[in-house]
Amino acid sequence: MALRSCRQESRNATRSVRVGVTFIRRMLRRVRPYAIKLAAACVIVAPSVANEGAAPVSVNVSPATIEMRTFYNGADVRVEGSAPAGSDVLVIVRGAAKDEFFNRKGRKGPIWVNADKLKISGAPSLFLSFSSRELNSILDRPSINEHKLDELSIKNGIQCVAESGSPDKAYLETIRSNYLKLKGQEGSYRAISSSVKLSEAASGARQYRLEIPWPRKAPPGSYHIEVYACRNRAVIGRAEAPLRLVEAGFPAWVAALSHDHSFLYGLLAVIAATIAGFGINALASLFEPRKKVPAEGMPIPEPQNAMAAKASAGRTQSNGPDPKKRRSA
Amino acid sequence: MSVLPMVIALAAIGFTLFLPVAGISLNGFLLIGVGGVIGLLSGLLGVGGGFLLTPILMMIGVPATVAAASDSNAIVATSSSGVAAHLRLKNVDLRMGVVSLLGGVAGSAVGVECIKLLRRLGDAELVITLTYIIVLGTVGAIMLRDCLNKMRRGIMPAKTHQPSRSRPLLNRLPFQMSFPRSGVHHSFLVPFFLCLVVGLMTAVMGVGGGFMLVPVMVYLLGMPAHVAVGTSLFYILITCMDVTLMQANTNQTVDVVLALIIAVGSTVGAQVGARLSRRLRGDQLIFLLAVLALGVTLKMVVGVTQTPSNLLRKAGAHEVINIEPHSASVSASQETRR
Repeated sequence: MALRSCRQESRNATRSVRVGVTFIRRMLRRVRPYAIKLAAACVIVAPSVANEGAAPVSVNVSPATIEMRTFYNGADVRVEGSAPAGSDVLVIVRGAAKDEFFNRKGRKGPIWVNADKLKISGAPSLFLSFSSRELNSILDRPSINEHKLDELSIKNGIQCVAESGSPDKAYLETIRSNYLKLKGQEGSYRAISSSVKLSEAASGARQYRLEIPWPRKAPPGSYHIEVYACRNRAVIGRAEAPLRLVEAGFPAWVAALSHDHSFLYGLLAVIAATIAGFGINALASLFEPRKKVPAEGMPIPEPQNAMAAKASAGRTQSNGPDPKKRRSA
Repeated sequence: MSVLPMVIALAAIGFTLFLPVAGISLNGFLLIGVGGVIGLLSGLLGVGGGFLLTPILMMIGVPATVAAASDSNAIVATSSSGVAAHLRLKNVDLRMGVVSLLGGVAGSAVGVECIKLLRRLGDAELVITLTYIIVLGTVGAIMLRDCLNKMRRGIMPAKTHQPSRSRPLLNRLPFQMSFPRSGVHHSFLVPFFLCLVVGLMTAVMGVGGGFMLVPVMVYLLGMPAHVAVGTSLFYILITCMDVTLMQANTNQTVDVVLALIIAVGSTVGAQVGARLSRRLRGDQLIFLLAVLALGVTLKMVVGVTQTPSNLLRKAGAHEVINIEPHSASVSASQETRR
């Protein structure tokens, strides 16, 4: 009896163990996808956490907002911060991509005319690159392409819609390279190496510092300052800070008026211009020497003819067709 | 001109101004200087100056749409200064001005339809460019030949000012009116239809009325050159007021700060030009206008035959790309609004 009950108990025990194991297995099966994701996340986070721990990339942009007032004349933007020891630093200023419209010149017979209309998108409106050393010596091509750090890598991202239909490969290539050339001429795309100054901090981390003469012609909007720390031709850390350009004071008021009350704005613009024209005329008549007034106001052309005679050096007869004479007649 | 020393003083300081609608900052002195030159030409020869101003503004970085719209605003200031100066010199025939405006407006409406038709047929650009070169070149050449002939012979009332053979026919047309300021007598229909053609040409070619209007008034309507210049400025003033309003209302591309800073130079320039025109004879004025027209034609010829350094040319967001701030863009902006 006792033996039987003992067996029974052990059987019960194994059964309950089995039940437990299946339960755990089931649970595991359910949880597995999450677990895998969690593990992956840990792996991804790990290096950056490690980097942050060692010497994080930091960036401080001053001023963070540039106000464009009436006499705005560009600004000096200072970008500084720290990077891991022994790294080179690359600072990129990027303006948001927006659609741009172009005419493409083409040859028709002997002359060049606008042969096509294009919409170009996917390229940053401003791209300034500053580095502590020449870009190709601090990063390899795959890293440059991954983060789009030079013109070549931006080039492949430029999209184009043409009125003539979707452009083929060769056409697209021509458009892209012409676009980059145009941006370069404008001063919107520039790369300046050896412009980021590096120094060693007491802790061993690198301090970097850069003065950007902010381009006067960059329109209002938000821009991104991206800082890359590079070592062994790879990106080891990255930080980003925004920079806003906003219209302030009188220009902000004018810009708002032109958008919100466009008809009133147009009317004011016309009135202001007309007043300017007639006002200058009134001023000029005030400053005019007295004796001249009757000579100019009167249609009698005598002084005129005298002057014209002098001008035509002896060809006095030509005063004949002088319009004023006929008018006075 | 005691304003000139002020301009020179500003030059020494060299200040920059932020243009709210264009969204960029430019050297104010540069704009005043450019304005001065354009104002001088405008006051002297009765042209708007858009043919020079738009490309210059685009060259110094103003977005194309803003450049085209704002310079019409600047031309309002320039031509009102010119008109005021010419009014004092009794060089503006208001009656003729109103008739030519009526014709011009009708002409530009027809011109816009022509452009649409050309676009549909294809090769519109080619036709427009060639028309521009041929018409402006021919007008310039005729004016130049006539002036040179007159200068060589040294006299005689210009034959164009005498009644032509077709005169009796024209005299029989209805609505005869006299234009006392110009000293001419025409049927309303004559200046109306001539200005309709001018309006049509300006709409198609996108070049300002002055180049066409002054020669038409002098050679075909028999008006004195000085009065033609003043009246042309009046025509330009009114059309540019309209363009400015349209552009501000539909495209919001008028930069009033840009326009007014140009106006500082151009209104003064227009005063100087108007006075200078008084010191020149009619044929000398026409000679200068001919040289300017031929210069613009030459620039255009060089521009279209040379291989461009860049195949891409910035365009406005709409069709209004090639359009200068005259009757052409009035209708074009009306077009975009529809």
